[in-house]
Amino acid sequence: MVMAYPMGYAIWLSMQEVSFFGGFRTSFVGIENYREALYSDNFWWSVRVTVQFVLVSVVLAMLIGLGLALLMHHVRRGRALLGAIIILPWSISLYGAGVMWQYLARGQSGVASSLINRMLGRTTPDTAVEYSLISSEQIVNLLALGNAWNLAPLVAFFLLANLKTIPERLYDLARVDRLNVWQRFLIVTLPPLQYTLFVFTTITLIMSMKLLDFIFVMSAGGPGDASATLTFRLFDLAFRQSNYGLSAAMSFYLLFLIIGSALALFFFWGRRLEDT
Amino acid sequence: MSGIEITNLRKSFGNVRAIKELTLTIPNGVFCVFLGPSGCGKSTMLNCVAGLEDVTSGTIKIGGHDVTNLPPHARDIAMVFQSSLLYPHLTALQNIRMSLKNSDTDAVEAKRRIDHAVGILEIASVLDKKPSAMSGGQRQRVAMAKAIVRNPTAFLMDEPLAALDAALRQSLRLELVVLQRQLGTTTIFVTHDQVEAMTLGDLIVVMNDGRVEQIGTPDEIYNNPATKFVAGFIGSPPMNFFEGQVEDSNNGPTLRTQYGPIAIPRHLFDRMGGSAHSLGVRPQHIDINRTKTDGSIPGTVFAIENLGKDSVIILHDTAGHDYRVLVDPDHGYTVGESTYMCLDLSQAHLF
Repeated sequence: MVMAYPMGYAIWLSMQEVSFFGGFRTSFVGIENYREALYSDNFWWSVRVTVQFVLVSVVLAMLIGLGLALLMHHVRRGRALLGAIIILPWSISLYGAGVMWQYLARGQSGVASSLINRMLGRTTPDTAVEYSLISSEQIVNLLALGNAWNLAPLVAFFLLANLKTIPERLYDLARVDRLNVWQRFLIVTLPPLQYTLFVFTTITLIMSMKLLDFIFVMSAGGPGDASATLTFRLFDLAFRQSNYGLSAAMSFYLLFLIIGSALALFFFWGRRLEDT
Repeated sequence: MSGIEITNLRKSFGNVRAIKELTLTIPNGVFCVFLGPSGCGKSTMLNCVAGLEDVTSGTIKIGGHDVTNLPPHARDIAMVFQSSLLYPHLTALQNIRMSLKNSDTDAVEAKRRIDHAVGILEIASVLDKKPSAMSGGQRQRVAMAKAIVRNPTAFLMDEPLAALDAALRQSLRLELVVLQRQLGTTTIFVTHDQVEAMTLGDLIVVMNDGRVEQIGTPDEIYNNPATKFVAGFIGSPPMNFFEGQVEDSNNGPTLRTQYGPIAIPRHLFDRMGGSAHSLGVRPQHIDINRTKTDGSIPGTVFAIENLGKDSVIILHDTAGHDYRVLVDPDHGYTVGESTYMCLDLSQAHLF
């Protein structure tokens, strides 16, 4: 019931034309909403933005997570403190993180402006340059970085648990075999992490695809619709433009995208891990 | 040419002195076993020879070359790790190849060596398997093949048979000895298992607490233990010790124990002098009787271990010390019975 009612309602909604003026009423339009979405430039733009956002998020989350895990694994002193600092971003709500990242990225008081002015030695208001990271070119990458910053700590701790299971003697074996740093990473360190990497790639992929709050707070899909991911688009359509039917139809395309990419990941990657 | 020469080796970890002093020459082609209880420094010593640990002081020569400050791969050694460690995500063949991957060996020579090693160890059927799909014995053979293809001056083995079951260990022990004879490569083998040491070694180095207790052939170690530690560590069931004060009187040397004096053969006394306080007698050199005889020592049967071919009777004296006596299985004694031990001192030891 918990699953079926909203799901059924969404399917019903996606096949209706909803009108408010002259009293709330709906009329059955069949697959018209689905067709309209496919002919909409806005829809395809949002798909593009979503794919970019998700790809950059997943890659960054994995790389940062792996980096943090290796750092925690190799640090000898102050391990507990380091671990506490690293886990902090994960414990911050994405709403709060959105507000914080917006402050960091914006022009007048942002990190980029401060760094540039510091390097150029400009200290007075009239000479200072202003550089905002919230530009239509960089906003998706910036959002992805913020998202990865939030997801990476969890990835790091699971990878760290894997790293701890690698026998120290394997590194001695690698030294006798004269493996260089890169070979040692590929042959000794990486293989036991594969399964965790796969699982978290899938998890971060799904979480990134359905992310809304962080984007809503930080960029609200802007500038313009530069960062209007599918989630933001269908939120906007439903609750600002009251176009419930089209929004519901688009939400099913998002669902197909999530299921499709998760299945593809399993087919091309996860399936091969089963025999290792 | 000498195999391995270790001179004044010392190794400390912070304030802990893992190896206090070690000087040893292992002749070329000799199978040398380092034997000792855990924590005695034998694995640390092996790591120092392999170059996996830096020495605190001293020098190590392998095949006449000073390798003290060389990295592991430059020392012309091959190492077999505990439980025959292999890269778990690579197949047997890939594991073996990894030994030569970054060496100067060309492809033709590498293939020849790998084929040779696969042939003598009979592992052709497992080359495509990963370690998790192999049996303990197969892993051990692959680990040996991985070592052999390096064509090293010395093999270093760190308890490679430790994780295997008893029957397999026994057969692999024999294979290892035959293989080492065949290759004639100087080998250091570290173990805490005295049976392994006695059966494998041309030379045994008994270590305890970071020091060498005795270096000798298995025969020398067993029949002429240099210290009380060696005497107690080698042999199963272990040697019995009778504590007391050694004195030389008109009636000949005696050990004054709490049960009265025990006469000691003159040759034993002459070798050790009056400083000794412990008489060591192996379990097979003690007889037990129900009646007291001259110089016999009382003991109560505490437990009986039946080994099949013979039995071990464990006796307690009044102070609660254990004594083990090897007897025929039809001994007829029962737990709790009072008996008397009769010592055959012709093969006893004084410490």
